Amino acid sequence: MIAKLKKTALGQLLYRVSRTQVGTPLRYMADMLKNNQNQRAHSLPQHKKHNQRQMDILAAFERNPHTGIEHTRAKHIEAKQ
Amino acid sequence: MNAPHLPAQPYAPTQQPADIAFLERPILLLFSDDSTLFFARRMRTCLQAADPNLTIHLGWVVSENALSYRQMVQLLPEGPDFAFQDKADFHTLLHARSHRAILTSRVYRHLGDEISQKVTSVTAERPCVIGFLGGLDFTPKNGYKRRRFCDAVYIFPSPELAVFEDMFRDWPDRMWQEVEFGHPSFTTPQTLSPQELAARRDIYFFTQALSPSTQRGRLHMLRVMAAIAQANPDRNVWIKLRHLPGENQQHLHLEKYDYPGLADQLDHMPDNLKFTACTMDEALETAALGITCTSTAAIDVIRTGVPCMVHLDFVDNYVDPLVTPMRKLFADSRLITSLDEMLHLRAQAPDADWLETMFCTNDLGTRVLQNIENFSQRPFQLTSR
Repeated sequence: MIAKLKKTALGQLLYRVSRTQVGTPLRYMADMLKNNQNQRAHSLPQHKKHNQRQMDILAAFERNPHTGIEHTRAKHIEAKQ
Repeated sequence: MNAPHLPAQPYAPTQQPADIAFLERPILLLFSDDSTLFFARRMRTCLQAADPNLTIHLGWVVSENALSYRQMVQLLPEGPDFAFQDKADFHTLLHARSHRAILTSRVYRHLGDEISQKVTSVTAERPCVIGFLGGLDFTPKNGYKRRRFCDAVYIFPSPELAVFEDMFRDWPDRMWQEVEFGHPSFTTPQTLSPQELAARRDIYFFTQALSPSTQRGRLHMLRVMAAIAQANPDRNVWIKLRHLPGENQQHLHLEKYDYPGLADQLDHMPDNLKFTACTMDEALETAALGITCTSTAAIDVIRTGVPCMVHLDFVDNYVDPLVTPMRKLFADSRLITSLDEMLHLRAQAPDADWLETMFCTNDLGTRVLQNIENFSQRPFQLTSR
């Protein structure tokens, strides 16, 4: 989307303005938009949950490569029975 | 580094004997980057298997070059036979009667412009232009449009042939054309014996420039590889880089966060976790397992009979546009592997039915030669202008 905008007259005008002294807020906003962590998708609960789950699986494996999450799940099932 | 000195010569048809019979002329394979060069090398092998006496030329499309000198030396030390610089070179190529066919996995703009001309299309003795897909294509319809003027088109997976036909059946400008199933990287997989696999100790992670797309996602994959290496000290875990950091700045896919750079952020780098920029063929000679996210490397791994894992659950996968189409393409393959399964190295054999739709028979070279012969006998040819 940004690549397309750059090719338009508006995009080129914005670029020229951003290079001037009054363009500081524009440059700040562009840096914010470019930063991955500011994407809205990162704040959705299901995405946060997904990331956390992957990090938990990895952390469990790093702690004990021979057990991991499957072992934890199996123990949980055993406890229920 | 000094400017590369390559034996490629500008395309000069006078160096070709023009009076050779059409079906005895050489076949030309075009390339401009690593993907297209892999295609050219594999296609050359398929054609040589069909006819060991064939003369095959490799043509470097310089105007679209995205190969570093390191890659040129690594992948094609003997250099190309011809270099194509501009529109005039392609015009000459189409009318010089120097080659019987041009095979390409990318329809270059100047080539596409030439073959879209109706008069060129019906011109007798011009080379037959055969277009293959570039590889796994997540938006194949764009690629089909670019190949609509090719004399033969090779498509995969097999159900996509019907999609292509639906798109162009009633297209008013359609000329003589054959549509086939196949790709030189997608030929019937080999089988490795359990003993052979058990003797191999190398695990390869085939990286990509674009996927995972975030720094956090890439760092997560790096940590996963480090954890596998740590848990398996008797194995080597190789992170196979497609480009060296800073290399290929003209490539379509630019790498924002390279793995060697991210490795500095790891708490501990196991000794058996290593980086390599070897070729795919070299990697697959010793690989016991190939892991990838959304790379077409998965296909090379499967074709060589090496167990393969496609991992799509990495951190930040929801912002990666390649994940959904990759999941769709591999949905029935049984190769999509969860993080837990991957960490414990539990690979599954690919589904046999899925393999049949993706991989063509090993007679690809023979079929291409038949296309060229059929092309030479097509009706309505213009013998003089």
